[in-house]
Amino acid sequence: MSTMTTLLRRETWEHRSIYIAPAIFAGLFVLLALLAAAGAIQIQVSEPGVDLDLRSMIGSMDARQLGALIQTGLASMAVFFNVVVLLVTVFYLLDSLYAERKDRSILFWKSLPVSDLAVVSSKLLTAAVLIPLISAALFLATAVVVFLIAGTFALFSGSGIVFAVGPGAIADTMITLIYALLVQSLWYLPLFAWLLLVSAWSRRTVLLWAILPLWAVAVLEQMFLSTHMFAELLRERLVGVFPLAFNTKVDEVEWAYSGENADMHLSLTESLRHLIDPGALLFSPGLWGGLVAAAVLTAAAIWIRRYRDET
Amino acid sequence: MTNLVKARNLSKRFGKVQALDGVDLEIPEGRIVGLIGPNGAGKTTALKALLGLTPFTGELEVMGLDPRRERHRVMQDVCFIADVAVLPRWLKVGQALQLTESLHPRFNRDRAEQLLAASSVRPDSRIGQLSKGMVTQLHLALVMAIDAKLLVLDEPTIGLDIIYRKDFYTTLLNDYFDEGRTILVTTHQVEEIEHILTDVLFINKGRIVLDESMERIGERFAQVSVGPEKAAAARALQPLYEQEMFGRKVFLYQDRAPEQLAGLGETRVPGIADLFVAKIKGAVA
Repeated sequence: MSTMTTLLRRETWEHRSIYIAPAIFAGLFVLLALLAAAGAIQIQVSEPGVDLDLRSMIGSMDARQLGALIQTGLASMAVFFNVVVLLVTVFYLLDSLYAERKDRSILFWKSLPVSDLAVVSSKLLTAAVLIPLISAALFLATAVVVFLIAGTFALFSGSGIVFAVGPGAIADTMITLIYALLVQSLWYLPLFAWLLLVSAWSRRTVLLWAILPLWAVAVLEQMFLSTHMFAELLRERLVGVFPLAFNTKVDEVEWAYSGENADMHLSLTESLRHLIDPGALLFSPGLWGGLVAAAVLTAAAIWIRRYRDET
Repeated sequence: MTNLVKARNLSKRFGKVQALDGVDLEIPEGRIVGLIGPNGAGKTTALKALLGLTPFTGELEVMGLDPRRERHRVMQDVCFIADVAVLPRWLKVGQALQLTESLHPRFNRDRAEQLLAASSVRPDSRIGQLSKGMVTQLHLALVMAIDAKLLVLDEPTIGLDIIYRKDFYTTLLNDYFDEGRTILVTTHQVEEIEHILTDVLFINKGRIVLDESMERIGERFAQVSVGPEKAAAARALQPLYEQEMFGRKVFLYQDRAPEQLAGLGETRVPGIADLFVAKIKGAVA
């Protein structure tokens, strides 16, 4: 087995939360689907003038409309999933080079013929590639189980439509999810590398050191220059990737419902996959500047792990 | 005979403390070298410099490589066990074997499993659950299964039960050491390793105060037990150190001809501990 594969495997041994936390979250979704199918909870759209349960909504849809609705549902599930996974990633990174110094096991790791470059890279790869892959796999498993529950339920209610459109909707969502995770990792790479650097450098209170300097720069800039460039840069970094990587509003599916307790209209994207549009991202200075920053911060983390002695 | 380690003018300062003060040393292949010194003498710092774990000034070659820049390559041929249990607590014994097997090209897993089978360490335990003695057994098994040229041990038996301590060195000597291997060891318990050493290095205040093979120590140093009536004559020969024992004076001499000492009393080769005290305390007095 290659060195890098072993190092990545070691990360999953040490930081079990990187798959346990999303797995727990996946379990919650499955539980929710089971409860809904068993009728213990009812999913209801309630807005002023609208009171409609999911079952009657689905009953009034054709295959195209339902496919779009399922994708929208899966996409919202993916957003929740992603938030959990990102939180896990932040704490993973902060711990990754700090824990080995705290418990002095760094002396054991350094007794192995593995370079600091390889070790630090394995941590960054875990955050940017391994954790997204694990979360995508868990998401797929969850989507399939939820689909089987919902499809079986629909079948008992006399409709095979969920089984007919589900697989295509799941496939479309997965393609979009993998793309979203990829661009997110690329965009967040400088943030990941910053956390890695703090983890390699800080002697205690890692989380504080991760946040405080960024906050201080923003505050100082406002005090002395009365500008918000750094704060704006950070905001852009945190939320700016998806507007650049996706276009909005293409081939919409319209659906309208008119009944005694509801009058409703939805426009849904027929296929999430069609929203993928990397052009603006690939030509944005933010992406390339971020990658350069990530390289510098990672090099600093490697340098610290190689030369600092505090044991 | 090739030198595995060559150090010239090795120096390191921590704030006001000069931890290493121009250390020169060479460690030839096939020896068991004891690095002996009081607390804070610079033992651990010297070892860490050799292992590429700490920055320093001066020239240093380990296996022909500079450990500052090429630690990971040096570690192909050098193993070490530090003075604290440093195996990660979350790791399982089986995982430790798997990890070392895939990360260390000279690791022989069968050998490690053999060694562990003879110990009380079980492969499915987590290291955090093992006693300190068991962790040391595991670490020793990992290290002994690596076909390395140089093994560095920094206080390897500290905090261990006496039974483990004896076993540790017996195992090392019987099952590991041969003419192709070299061991560098530091310890407080000089008596514990005295019989296995081929060379000693005394270090005090960051300086090497003695660098000698055990044979040469037998030739150069002598301890004479003298009755009170001959004490003045004994002092005239300028002993390194003098102490009183059961009403007799015990003098330790460096580089005196045997015939000079023969008339004074019973002569013998001093133990390392006595020699150490004489060298360190004698230097102070």
